[in-house]
Amino acid sequence: MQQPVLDVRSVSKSFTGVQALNAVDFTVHPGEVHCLAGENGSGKSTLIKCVTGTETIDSGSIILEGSEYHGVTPSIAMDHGIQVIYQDLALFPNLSVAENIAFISLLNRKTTLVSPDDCSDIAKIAMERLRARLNLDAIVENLSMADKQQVAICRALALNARLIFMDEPTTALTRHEIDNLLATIDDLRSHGIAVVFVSHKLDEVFQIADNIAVLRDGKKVGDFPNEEIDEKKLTFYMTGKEVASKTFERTHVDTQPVLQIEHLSRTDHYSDVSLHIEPGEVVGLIGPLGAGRTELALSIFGLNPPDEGEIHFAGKRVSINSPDDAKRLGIGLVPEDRHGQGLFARLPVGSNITASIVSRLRRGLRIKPEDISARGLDLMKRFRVRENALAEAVQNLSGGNQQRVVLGRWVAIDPKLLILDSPTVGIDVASKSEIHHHVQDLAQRGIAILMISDEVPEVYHNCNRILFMRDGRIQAEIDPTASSENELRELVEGRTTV
Amino acid sequence: MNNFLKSEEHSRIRLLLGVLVLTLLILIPLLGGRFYNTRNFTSMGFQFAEFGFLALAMTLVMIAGGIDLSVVANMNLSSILGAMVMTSPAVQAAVGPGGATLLAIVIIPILAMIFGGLNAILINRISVPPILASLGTMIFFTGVAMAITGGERVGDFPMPFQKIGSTTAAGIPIPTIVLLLAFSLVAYLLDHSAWGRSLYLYGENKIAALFSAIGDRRVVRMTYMLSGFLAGVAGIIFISRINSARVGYGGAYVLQAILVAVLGGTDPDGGIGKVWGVFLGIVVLQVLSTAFNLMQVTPYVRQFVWGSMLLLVMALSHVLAVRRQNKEVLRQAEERLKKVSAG
Amino acid sequence: MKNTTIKNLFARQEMILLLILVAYSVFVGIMNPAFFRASTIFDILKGSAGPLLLALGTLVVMISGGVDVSSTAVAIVSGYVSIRTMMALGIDNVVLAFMISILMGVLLGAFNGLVIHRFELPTLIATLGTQNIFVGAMATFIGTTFISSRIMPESLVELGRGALVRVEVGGGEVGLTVNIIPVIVLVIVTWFILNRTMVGRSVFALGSDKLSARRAGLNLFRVRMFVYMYAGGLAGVMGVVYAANTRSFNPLSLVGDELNVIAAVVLGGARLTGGVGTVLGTVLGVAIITVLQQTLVLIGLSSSWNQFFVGVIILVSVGVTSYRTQKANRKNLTFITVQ
Repeated sequence: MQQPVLDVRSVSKSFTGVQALNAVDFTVHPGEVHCLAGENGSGKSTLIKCVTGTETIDSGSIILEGSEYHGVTPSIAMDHGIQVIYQDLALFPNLSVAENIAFISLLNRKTTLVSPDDCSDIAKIAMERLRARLNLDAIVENLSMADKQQVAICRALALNARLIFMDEPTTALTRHEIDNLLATIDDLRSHGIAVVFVSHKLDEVFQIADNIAVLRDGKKVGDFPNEEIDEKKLTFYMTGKEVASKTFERTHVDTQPVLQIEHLSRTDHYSDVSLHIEPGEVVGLIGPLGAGRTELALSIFGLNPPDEGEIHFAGKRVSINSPDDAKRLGIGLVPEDRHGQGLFARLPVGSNITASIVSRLRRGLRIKPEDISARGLDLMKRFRVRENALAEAVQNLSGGNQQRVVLGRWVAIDPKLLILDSPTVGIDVASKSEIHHHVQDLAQRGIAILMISDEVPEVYHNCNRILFMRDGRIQAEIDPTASSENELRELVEGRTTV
Repeated sequence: MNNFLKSEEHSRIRLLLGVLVLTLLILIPLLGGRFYNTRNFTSMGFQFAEFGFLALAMTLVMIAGGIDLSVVANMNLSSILGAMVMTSPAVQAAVGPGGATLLAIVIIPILAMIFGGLNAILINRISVPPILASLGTMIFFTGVAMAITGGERVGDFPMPFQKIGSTTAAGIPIPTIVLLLAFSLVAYLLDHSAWGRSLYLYGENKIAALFSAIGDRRVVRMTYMLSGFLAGVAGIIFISRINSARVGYGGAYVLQAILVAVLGGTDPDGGIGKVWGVFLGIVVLQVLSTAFNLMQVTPYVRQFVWGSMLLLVMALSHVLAVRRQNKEVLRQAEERLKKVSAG
Repeated sequence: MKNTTIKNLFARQEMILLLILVAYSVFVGIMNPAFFRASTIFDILKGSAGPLLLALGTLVVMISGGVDVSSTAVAIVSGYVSIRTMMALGIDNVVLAFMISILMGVLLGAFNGLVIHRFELPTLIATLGTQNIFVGAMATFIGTTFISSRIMPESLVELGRGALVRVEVGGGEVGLTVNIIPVIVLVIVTWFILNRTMVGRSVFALGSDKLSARRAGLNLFRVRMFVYMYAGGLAGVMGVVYAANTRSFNPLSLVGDELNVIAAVVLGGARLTGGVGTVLGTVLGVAIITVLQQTLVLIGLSSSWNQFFVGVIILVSVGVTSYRTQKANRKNLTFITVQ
């Protein structure tokens, strides 16, 4: 067996009292696809940072291609062919594909002069190894996420990568693109390049990984060849507990739909979508990315007016042209991008949670700050947000708390319909199930809920009805009591057809 | 509970207050009676009134996360138009000097408000970045004013109008009183009105404001129109004081307005700012300015000092913000440690 | 394909500018053939020399993601320092004039870069501050004495009078100012740096995405220092050219025009957010504004209308660009915060 390209031996790292890594061993051989699984805060990113030299280690050693180090620097890591593709890809959106691929290589060569040919030469070589088909002159900001990823991978290849870390690479890819990516990783493997990828999407993990290492609270709790582990076991190792989720059983029944959509279309986003949601329902909307789910949600919320079709709300035909329209009708949206779209980072929790009801708190012509505080505190209590955080900047809260703030904000308007777009992404398991509890509770009180999610278990256990959307169309409706979770998963992954 | 930076901003206000007191104390031996006399205070009062309105206008836009490069050009254009109406023989014949004055006082702020609204239209309807929008409107307003007047001054206003810039009530200049009222009103609105509270939200994160349905377009519109209105009021005081309206007046005020806004704790990124801090900043600047004048320091020294102060305040802000962030990281780590050892 | 459209878009912006320029020239030329006279053309070229120099520096700063309002201040201070030094030393030499001015410009630019980098200051406000620091310091420590053509260093007066090409006109001669040479050279040099050197490409990278630039291992300090020092150097050149062209020197002039320079650069297609901008676009932007300012008189509009038309063009250009971006964002459901 060849010598490992990366050999992490008993590495520990702590940050002011928090043990981020605890005597972790991790080995990767050339051409191996090794998955790094773990919850938020398990130490995955710290491990990557230590290996790539962004962080120093307290003890242990890192052996790169046979050379032992106690302190890796970014240039040492790069010399040994260690490359990272971050989730945000870290590309230059205004530069061309060729230039993005070639930039760091040229930078390392310390050349002064550079010509477009230099860039395309370097780019072509990298692209050839990948059988990638990209337009060298295309400006990166106009590319799809999948193409951007290809650019990032080519860039790593141009830097003579022997080991590529990929951080959650499939989050923004369609099914088809995921297959392409997995094929790409296969290609890399055949070239002797190792890939370590961090993912919580277990189905993909099992599809491509040779080995799966699991981190929990800074310790490596398991390292298995693919054949020896299954999803249940993996979840157990990742969370340390059997995840018990309470399955949703609808109690509030009202057959007069709150939302009725008929033949809704928006060019390039979705077409001919018809659906209805009744009060007390939690309707799941699942499907690969690119299916049009968020686009649909934004249309209902007024940020993406449809081209054709009708929306009926509470029995009346409506035209929703702005979030203010939506709010007036009683529609709320917990957005996908919590930080960019949902939070006022430096403002206090109190301001955040009352953001949507400011005008409603008017007494005559004015608003009393005490009213805002009181209402804010109420909502915080109800959603179990840390009460002493009323005046604290919301950016200092944990992801779970933050999401509950956003949820509370919309519940405050007494909504008839609540749309949740990927409500538990990036949240630890305990908080996840707490949010699920709140969601189910809201439904039992008569609110209609549309839950968009990528996670089959989340949708399976929290919805009384599931809509499967793909390529802009609703292709199936699933009753979770009539189908198994596995059947749903196979549908979503495209292993069965409708 | 308006803002978690409450203690931080109040500390800024305390700091300014301290600087002010210190400066005033230093001036006693330095300038003595030349500074501390009624006539001086009165004249200071007049000067900082016109600037105060501009500073308030700029502060509101900065809290919204933008910078209004066009406030002064707006002030000039609306003043010129108002002055032209006021000094036209036809108008004077129809309503007399008193009526013409009243007309001007009404027209100027309203025009300025509309011009300010132009910025809002660009930002709301065409998604023009605020800096670009105000750059464009600034050049445009100046251009219109230039085309209309050919660079000539519009002057010789009716007596009642001229009095505005020089009347006192119980020794306090009327414009100063109006300024104080304006500051009080705006401060109140910022904390107690839907517009005010939404303004902070919008300034902190425009996108989240959109997604939270706070009526972001209305916030922008009202902010820029109010800012325009204030610029118009500044214009009235300004041209009354010098008895003429002309293109190009007040160019230095843009820097000064940004300076006092920043001094007073306003964050140019938006979402943070308190008008009383800005007021203190204005007072400090006015005291320094007058002291400089009395000491016969050239206006260039003043320019140098203003520029340096701006850089110093912003640099200090940055350093303190970094320190605060580091403290926060440490605090969170300690909390985690406590949790781990407890549970 | 999306990419070709965007490529077309940019080619289109410069194309559109060129078309506007041509259309306007034809229009005015028809209304008043004096437009095509050598003296008019030479005046236009002479009048655009200074602004173009400043615009090139402003362009580089804008590509890096910043806005520089101190360019005129740097130019005037550098020029003044150069002239006063020459007068004090009694040395009257064009080369020396440029050297001192450029050195001064680079130093002032370095100050900008240092302050902006070290404290991560928003560039508009920072350069607003430095603009006042530079002028205030100059006025306080050196003075504000107006330099009339009588006491102006002879070499600069000569430079101003120097002509590349002379044309017989009516009873006399008009010449194309020799100052156009440094401008053309610097246009080419700037293009070369921005497009054919790693430093230039790094400026684009920095303006495109600061975080990615840092991750890529770019030394942000070096890039920023280059940007501001280069802009400062160009402003230094402009200071001397300005002195030569006006054959006198009022150290309290020029400052105030920087916003028109920024407008010209924006007109030329540069994005305030960084990462986008071309030398050709900047040249066209400056050309359009200068031509407007110099030739409106030919169709009977007094010079008081200049600023108005410039204002209209800026508003329209900014409006159109933003509208296009808005449409694209709406289609892609991109919600970005544009500063």
